This record gives sequence, structure tokens and C-alpha cells, in this order.
Amino acid sequence: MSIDTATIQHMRPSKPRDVEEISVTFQPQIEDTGSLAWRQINDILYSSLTEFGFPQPAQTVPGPLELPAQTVVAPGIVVGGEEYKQRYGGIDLEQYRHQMSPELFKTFVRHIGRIPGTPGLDLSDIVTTPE
Amino acid sequence: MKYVDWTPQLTVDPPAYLDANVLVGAIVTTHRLYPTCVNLIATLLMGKLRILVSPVSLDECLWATAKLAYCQLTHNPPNARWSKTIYLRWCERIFQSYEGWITAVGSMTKDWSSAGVPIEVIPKTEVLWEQVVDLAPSYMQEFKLSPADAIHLALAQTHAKTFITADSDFEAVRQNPPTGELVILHLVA
Repeated sequence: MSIDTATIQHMRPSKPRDVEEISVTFQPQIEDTGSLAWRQINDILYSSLTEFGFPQPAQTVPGPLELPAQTVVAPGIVVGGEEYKQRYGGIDLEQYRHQMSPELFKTFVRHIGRIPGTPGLDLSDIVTTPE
Repeated sequence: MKYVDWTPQLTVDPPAYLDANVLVGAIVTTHRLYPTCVNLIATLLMGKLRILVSPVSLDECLWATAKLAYCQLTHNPPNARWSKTIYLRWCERIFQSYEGWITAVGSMTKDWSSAGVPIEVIPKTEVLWEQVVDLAPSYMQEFKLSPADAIHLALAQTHAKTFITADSDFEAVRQNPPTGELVILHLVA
């Protein structure tokens, strides 16, 4: 669930001092995709409410296959998890990061794989003289 | 002339002339040669090796990215029929939605140059161009290459020490290579 899809389902403050009577329930609108931002918000809410003695539901631990929501490949070049996998997944970026100057590395990663291909794509099908 | 399948252990002798499929191959994902094209490009950039490109390469890159955009717009597979008539019909939509794809290769080579990579456009002189004009038809005849491929080979032969391509149409050269010191590096998955 991303920040955009988190909703405060129910909140009913009565009087300013009746803190114990406030009822707050959070419910995701869609399945939790494990975004980093949401997990951070969740952690803050969880620790704050626990501190004040509110009963808490069991925490869901993200699965090991989840991709990070955003990855900084080079300064100013931020890509989503799926895009990272497609563009840089099979590439030894760390080797190139150490062997290129920062400016050259940024130029390199900015351009490689910037056009998403389709499954089964063959270069000879597209680099061809039109009829 | 020598024809060799590229491996990362091979040393690339500059200047290296790049076929369009190497440039497009590094910019478009999911095809089987993508990691090879990217690793080859990284080798060239890290070594600051002299890279040569030509208007013929740019022409082919522009056609390729325009076709990709067309296939994306129409949900056609990459091997869909592609013609100038189709391009003209879809030109406006292609640029409306995918101008960034069409300019991608040009933008990449300009950025390489700004980052200090020595990249040059050939042909460089009229004398060399005349040699290309003489060689291209003979390559068309001898190796049954298309005019564009024959011009690529002639440009490489007259300007470069290495010609890097992913096009298997140059396989014909492997059997009966003409004289000269050019090495054709063929990218394979």
C-alpha cells in the first residue's frame, strides 16, 4: 500500500482531553506492496500508539522477494524496483561505478536501457530498413 | 580483415566504428543481446577509446526507435510489418507520445562526448568518402550485403581498426575476408 492509498477509515474525537476515547482504525484500500515510505509511516504509528498503551495488531513482515520502491543509481537518477531490474539487473554496476569517473558513470547509467523492450524482442526485427 | 565473436576478455583496438544495432541494443531492454551491448559500451567508455559513428548509423537508429514507438502505440509485436507509408501515417502520434525514444540515441552520444569520451562522426574527408563510394558496391556484390550494411563495412574499413556489430548478415565476411587490418567484432549472447 502506498501513502496515496492509505486511509484513516474511522476517527472519532469527542473532547480535546478525552484521549483514551479516540478510536482510530487504519485500513489499506489495496494489498500492501511494501513501499518503504509506507513501512516507515507504519513503524512510527506503531511505536507511538504502543507507547500510549493502544492495542496493536500483528505486524506484517515484507516478503524477501519485494523490490525496493526506489533506487538511486547515480546522483539524480532514481528508478523504481521493476525498472531497476529490467535496466540494471544483469549488469555489474558496482564494477563500472569503481572504474568510471562519477560523471561518466552517471552518463552511462542514464542512457542504458532507457527504452523498455517487449518480451521476445529481437534486435534484427527493429534495426531494419523500412519497406 | 578478421571476423571475431566478441567476449569481454578481448581487447578492442581503436578507433572502433559502431553499427546502429549496438547503439540501439544498449538503449532498449529485454532482447537477448542487451547485457552484451551494455558491457561492450562500458568497455569503450571506461577505456576512453575513440568511437566512430556515421549518419548511416543514426538513420538506422531513428528508424528503429520510431518502429518501437509504433509497435508500442499499436500493440503490435516488434517483428510487425514496418514501412515508410506506415511511418508517415503514425508520425504525428509517434512524436506526440514517444519523442524521447526517437532522440534517445542522439542524446546518448552527445552526453558521452560531454563526459570526455572521444566520439567522431565519419566520413572525415572527401578522399576517404571516395574510397567508401568505391568499396560499398563491391561489398554488396561480394558478400550480398544491403547497401546500408555495405556502407557500414566500407566506412569501417576506411576509418577504423575495429567494426562492432550485432548483425549476423556480416557472417558472409567470416568465410572469405577481404584484405586489410579491420577486425569485425560480432556481438553474440
